[in-house]
Amino acid sequence: MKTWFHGLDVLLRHHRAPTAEPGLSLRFLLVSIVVLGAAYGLFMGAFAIRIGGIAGAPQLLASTFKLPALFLISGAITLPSLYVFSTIAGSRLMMGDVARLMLTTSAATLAIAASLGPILGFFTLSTSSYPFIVLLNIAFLGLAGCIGVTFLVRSVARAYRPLPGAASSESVVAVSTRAAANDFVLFIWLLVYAVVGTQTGWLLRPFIGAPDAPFQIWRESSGSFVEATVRTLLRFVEQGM
Amino acid sequence: MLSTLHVALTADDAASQHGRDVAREVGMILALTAGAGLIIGSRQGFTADGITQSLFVAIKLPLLLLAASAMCMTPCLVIQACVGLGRTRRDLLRAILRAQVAFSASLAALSPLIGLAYASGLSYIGAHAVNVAAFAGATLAAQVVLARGFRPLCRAAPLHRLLLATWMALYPFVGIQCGWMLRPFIGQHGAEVVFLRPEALTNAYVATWRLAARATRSDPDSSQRRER
Repeated sequence: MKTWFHGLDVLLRHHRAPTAEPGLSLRFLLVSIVVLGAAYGLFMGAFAIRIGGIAGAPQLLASTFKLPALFLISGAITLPSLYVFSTIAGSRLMMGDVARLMLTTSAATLAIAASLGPILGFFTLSTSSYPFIVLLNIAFLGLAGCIGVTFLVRSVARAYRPLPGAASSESVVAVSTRAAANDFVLFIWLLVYAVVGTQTGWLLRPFIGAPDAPFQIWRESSGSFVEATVRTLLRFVEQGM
Repeated sequence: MLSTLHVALTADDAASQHGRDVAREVGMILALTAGAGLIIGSRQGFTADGITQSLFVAIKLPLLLLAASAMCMTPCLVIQACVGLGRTRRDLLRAILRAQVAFSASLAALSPLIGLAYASGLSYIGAHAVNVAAFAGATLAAQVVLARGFRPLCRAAPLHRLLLATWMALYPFVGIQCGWMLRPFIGQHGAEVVFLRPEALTNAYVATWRLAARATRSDPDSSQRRER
């Protein structure tokens, strides 16, 4: 346990390129994603217990498993595109390094989300308003996601630095062109990741459990995350619920 | 104690003895907020109910500060590590702690004024208004000290502004809910003295929104305007 916490501290504080951190194995990163995702999923699903008592236990368990799955699935879907396009743009990273980079980012994002879990649990204790809890979860996961992005950007920027000795053979123009291409690829990929992540979350719902709906592992896939968020916000504003 | 208070309020790092100061500052926060709480809860005077209410608030006010700080500190520290500012963890904690000292000291300093307002026979709504003003003043003092503590950090690395913004968004958000759950603080004459209200497990924001929504819906002028 102590080793795991030490590894997590290394992961969060040390922003080296993935290839330079041999202590952070793929196994460690996967375990971290599962543990941290399950921790936040527990707080998400706690609303079902708050509303329905012990009858909400299946939802609590489902959320604990589904949240880490959401990050792993979104990462798996977008990994090939990140590797291919970043390599074309001049990245030195191999497929394994890109996978580790993505898992590191997911772990950092889930660490932030898990740290917000107690606040979510605190508000879950004190509210029966489903729209409020949904919007709070969106805000917290959004914050964690945005900061996770800065983590990724800093790590990727290191991956595009020329190797020692190799830089002298590149002209200033070539280096700046490569940097601009890298930034463009990363920006497009981040947009794709955000869309894939939110839509995967929508397909894997419910995470919180609506008070007026019976427990289901998955709901039928209709509509989209954006449409549902706007509807929830309007419901909160109009009905004050 | 006074020198530690001075160091905290002026962010005088040259005079700071860091390790001992942290323990003293935490002790000061607890003592000052408990002292302020004794006065804030004293509206019912030196009766059995009044003394009970005072003691309850002397316990609840430090609890409110500690609970809100504990919940908000962890995400701030994790975010600090994630954005590559882990080396300034000590400075961040120091800045936040000193802001809490400033809040406690300001509230304790304003509490004699609250006592005077109570002694002047202020109504329940008037007492609420005075307390809100005192809390607002203490919050402003805390923000000034917090900004002062963050200034050198932001100069060294502008990303500290993200941490400052996160704290300034999260802490009031959580603190307001903590305060709502720990009601009552002032106490009404004739009402039963309780540690927590029966409806403690409710949401401040939802309750306020519903109140506002009900108020606009029941306003006859607004409904006539809608008909036109």
